[in-house]
Amino acid sequence: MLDEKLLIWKFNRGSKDVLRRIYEKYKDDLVTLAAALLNDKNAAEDTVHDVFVSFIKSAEKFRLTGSLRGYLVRCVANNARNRNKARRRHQGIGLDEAKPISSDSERPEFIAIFGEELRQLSWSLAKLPYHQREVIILHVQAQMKFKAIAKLQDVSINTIQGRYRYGLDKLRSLLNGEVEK
Amino acid sequence: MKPTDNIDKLIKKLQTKASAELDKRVHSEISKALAETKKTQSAKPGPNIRKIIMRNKIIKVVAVVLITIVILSIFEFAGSRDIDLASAALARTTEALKKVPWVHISCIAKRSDSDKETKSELWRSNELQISIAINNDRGIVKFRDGGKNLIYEYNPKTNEIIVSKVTGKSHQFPIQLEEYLELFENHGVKYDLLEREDIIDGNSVRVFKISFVDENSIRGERVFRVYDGNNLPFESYVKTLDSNGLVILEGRMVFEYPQEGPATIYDVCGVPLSAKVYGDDLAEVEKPGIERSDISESTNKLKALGKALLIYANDHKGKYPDTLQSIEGYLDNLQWFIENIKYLGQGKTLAARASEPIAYDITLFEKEGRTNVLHSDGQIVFERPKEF
Repeated sequence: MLDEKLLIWKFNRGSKDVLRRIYEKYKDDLVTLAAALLNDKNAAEDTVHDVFVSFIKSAEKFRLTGSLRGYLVRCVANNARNRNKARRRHQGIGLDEAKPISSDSERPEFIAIFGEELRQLSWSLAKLPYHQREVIILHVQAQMKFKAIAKLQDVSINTIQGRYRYGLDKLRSLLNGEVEK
Repeated sequence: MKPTDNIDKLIKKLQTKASAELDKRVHSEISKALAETKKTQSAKPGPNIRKIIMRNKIIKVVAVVLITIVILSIFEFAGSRDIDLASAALARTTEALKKVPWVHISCIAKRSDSDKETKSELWRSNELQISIAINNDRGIVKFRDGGKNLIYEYNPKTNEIIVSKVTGKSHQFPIQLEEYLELFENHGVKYDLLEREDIIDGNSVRVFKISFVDENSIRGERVFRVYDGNNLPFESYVKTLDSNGLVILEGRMVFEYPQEGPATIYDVCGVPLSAKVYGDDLAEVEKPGIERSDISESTNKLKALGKALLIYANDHKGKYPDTLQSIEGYLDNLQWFIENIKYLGQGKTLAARASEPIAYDITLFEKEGRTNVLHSDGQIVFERPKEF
């Protein structure tokens, strides 16, 4: 925590050297978050790259006041959502449509991203509607509060809690279904 | 164990690493940005630290750099002059400190007999006569209320607050140069005070240095750096040496000046309302500042109001009532709510932002300056509703 405060302090003082430390500190968490949201390691790395490029460019223009990690998580979530929208638009599929990216849990990308052990989980997450997946990942993985997610998605906290509950229910049934196979 | 037994734990296990390719791409962008900065640096003014510090509202920033002998040796006091307590520059600093609403100091120190750094914080409000010392490592908080002449000491291990009467001088936790000098004089410690001018990051600063020797031949130096523009200190260094010249303690303090600070001990991060409060004779006493029973009663009332408003809104196309009178039949003892609650839900709907305030307890606010606020998401937060 103190480390983060020091990073923010240096960042706000205009130190650009601190950007390397910020990147090294958060890169793995941010790539994991983006990969969980997008189910695509390449797209996740592009997302993190884009976020850092705009972070570097805007370094002189703004001042960080809150949590650095929280700020970067929000940037990655926004970028991943836009990327997902663009992808869906390109494929002609609605954002909330529950169609899975893949119907085959054995597909190698699910193993490649998070390993064999978590293949079922990443496959099940990929089958959730994007909004539900986003709430679950941001709340559980990125440890964001419902209130903060509600602000990020610009909806009420009740909606967020609903998405979380329905998402978890669906995830449970998908995981159980997979086990029973 | 079924995989669904603990989905949270499973999700947390999702981990992947950034590839070398991504590292290369991002580092290359950073290098470009650094090169760009170097090119334009000469044409651009340096960061104005004074502005940066003064813009901070709530202090969160701490510097971690430990002071070494090397850093202290940078302070070559060539060209400096001896001053005394009557120095005009010192008087300006003392006056400037009196005018700020809050002073917050982050301290990091290292003792030679320990491998660990000690982190602590000090808060001071001259207006509210509050002085607070927080040991960040042990979580111990000493909250001094000068108005009531009481000290509250919170110990996280026992989750207890011990209240005792103030004895001795009013500067329980000295924070400024003049107070240190006063302490030295009171304890017969010999000291020299030097002053010189300097330029740091393009800002004109005044550097004060106190060198002291106590009766046990313990020697020390304390350096204060003060901005010339606002006469406020922004950092301080300390070094203490034993009679053999070995360093006993080194530390650094960073000063900041927020508009608001912890007005009660419960505003200090980590002090829970659940802490038991005892007098120094160990008899249980009243909670400092706020009555917990008042807060919990108000919380329960606002919870009931939140439910009633939700049910009303569900019956009325998601719209909150225009006045509290409209929810008659949805809530018992409505008259109490009409008399004690400030309702802010007029014209709002269930789709309102989660953080939107819907109502707050006026009575508690008048009594404590802070109150329970019901938000659109049903959460009740104890805060200052002045911004509404």
